[in-house]
Amino acid sequence: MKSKIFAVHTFLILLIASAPMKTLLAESNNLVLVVHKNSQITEITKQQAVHLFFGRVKSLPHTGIIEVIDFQPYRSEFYRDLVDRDISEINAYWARLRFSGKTRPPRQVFSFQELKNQLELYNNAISYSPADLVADELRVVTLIE
Amino acid sequence: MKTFFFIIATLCMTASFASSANERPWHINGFGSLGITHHTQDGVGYRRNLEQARYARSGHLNTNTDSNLGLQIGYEAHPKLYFMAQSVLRLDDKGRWAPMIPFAFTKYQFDNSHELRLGRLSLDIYTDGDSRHLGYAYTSIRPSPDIYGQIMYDHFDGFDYVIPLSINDFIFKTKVYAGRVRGNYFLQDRSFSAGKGYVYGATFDWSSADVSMRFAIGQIHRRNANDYENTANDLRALGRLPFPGLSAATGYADELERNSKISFLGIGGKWDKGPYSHTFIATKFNYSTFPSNDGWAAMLESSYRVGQFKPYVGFSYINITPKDKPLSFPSGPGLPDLSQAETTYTLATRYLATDKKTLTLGLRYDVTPSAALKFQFDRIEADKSALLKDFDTPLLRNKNLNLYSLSLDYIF
Repeated sequence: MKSKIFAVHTFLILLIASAPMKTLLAESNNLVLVVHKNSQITEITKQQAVHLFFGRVKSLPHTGIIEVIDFQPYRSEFYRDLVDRDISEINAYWARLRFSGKTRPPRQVFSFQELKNQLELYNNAISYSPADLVADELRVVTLIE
Repeated sequence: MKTFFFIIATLCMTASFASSANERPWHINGFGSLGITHHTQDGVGYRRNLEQARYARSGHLNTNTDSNLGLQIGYEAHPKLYFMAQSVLRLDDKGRWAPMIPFAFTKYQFDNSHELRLGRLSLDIYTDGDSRHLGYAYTSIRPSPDIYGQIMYDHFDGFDYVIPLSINDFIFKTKVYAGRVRGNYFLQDRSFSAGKGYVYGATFDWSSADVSMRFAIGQIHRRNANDYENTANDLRALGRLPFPGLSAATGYADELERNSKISFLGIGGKWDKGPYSHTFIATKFNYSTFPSNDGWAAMLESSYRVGQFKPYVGFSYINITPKDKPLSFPSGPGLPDLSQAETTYTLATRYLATDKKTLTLGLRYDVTPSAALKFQFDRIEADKSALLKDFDTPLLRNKNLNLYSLSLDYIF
């Protein structure tokens, strides 16, 4: 039994080690919070942004439930900007919540087209993106310090 | 394991029924820890919690203490309805590698953001997460054994209800929970079960962007636990003997069989600011009826991130003081020798006695965004302890230990 358990551990560790480390390789960008142009969200405080992206709240005053979306290629950089924490610390935080069944991490998208589609699909969704990618269908949310 | 597969099958059926209108995602995730511990204190055994029935012995590389493997499956049938089940393979109270189910529940989110969970849940009483199995979530190799290791019953079948409240930039959450308590622990070569017991309590959380605090209160009641049935029977037999002074034995037997109650209070805080992270937890608990104990414990941990490295330092202390008086019968010519009964009873009252402190130094290295390698040194000084074992005497007294640990924790 014990040798089987160690074989499973070895397999899983190798699987994880072979995963691409895109999140650690993102180049520096000017990231902004974005929503769909029809979203009710217009401005947000930094504390509210932290609470939303850390799953502590699911809505803001005068909004319905907000869908939070992580734009995977810029995830590491975004959390570094927001709370000055390493992506592995963010993963550990979410692991604590996910594996105690409290809440699940934000939905993840891997391309800008996917991000636009998701923001359109969920009217009250929020995410982040490099400022120079923000197109007509999207709107930048003012971050109040 | 059959139970887990049953739950998975139930989830699949429920999911397929619920997903007819709109396909919703499944989530299959897991976690694991591959740990090695080593110490050189002859005649002493180490374990990380009361559940483990095997000890890390002197001079050996032990892989049982910190290793485990968890698998979780979840299904979002609707944005407001979520199912989840989790199984963890770990060293149990029989000394086997066996699965347990810390979570298997249905969660419903109401329009006002209140949340109701029904099913198997874990006790959520300390600040730093409610799963003591999830090594990756903790900075150190193991959540402080002086706090988390003393938990006898860590899950329950029932419900919890969360009421969140946002005021300005602060989040307040109140959670109430109740249910039938589950869990086992191993003490003095015996396994104890929660039996017919129930738990109820509440937690109150407050969070700002960098700081979170929790206050927890709860009680566990166990009815007719009969943990010491043989000793109680012996005492009743003694009480029936026609000798003066022995009638008190019946009273002791009643005390052994009476319903027991564990009360606990906890307060904790966590401060994360940039590379700095600080955590503290303090708890006070009380075991009423046999064996009665009063206890308290506290821990502090600080870490500082430097790139992918995170050195940390921690200190914890626990004290559990027995309240039961030793059993004492009259002795003399013509009276039976009752020293064995006295010894057995007195030992039982002292099994949980603890006076132990731990200094922890360690280094966490995040190899990838989902795997961490940790090295840890613990200096453990125990005047008394239920977690450590002295293989030469029934009760451990005045033993110190240098524990070296290496662990690879990961999630997938």
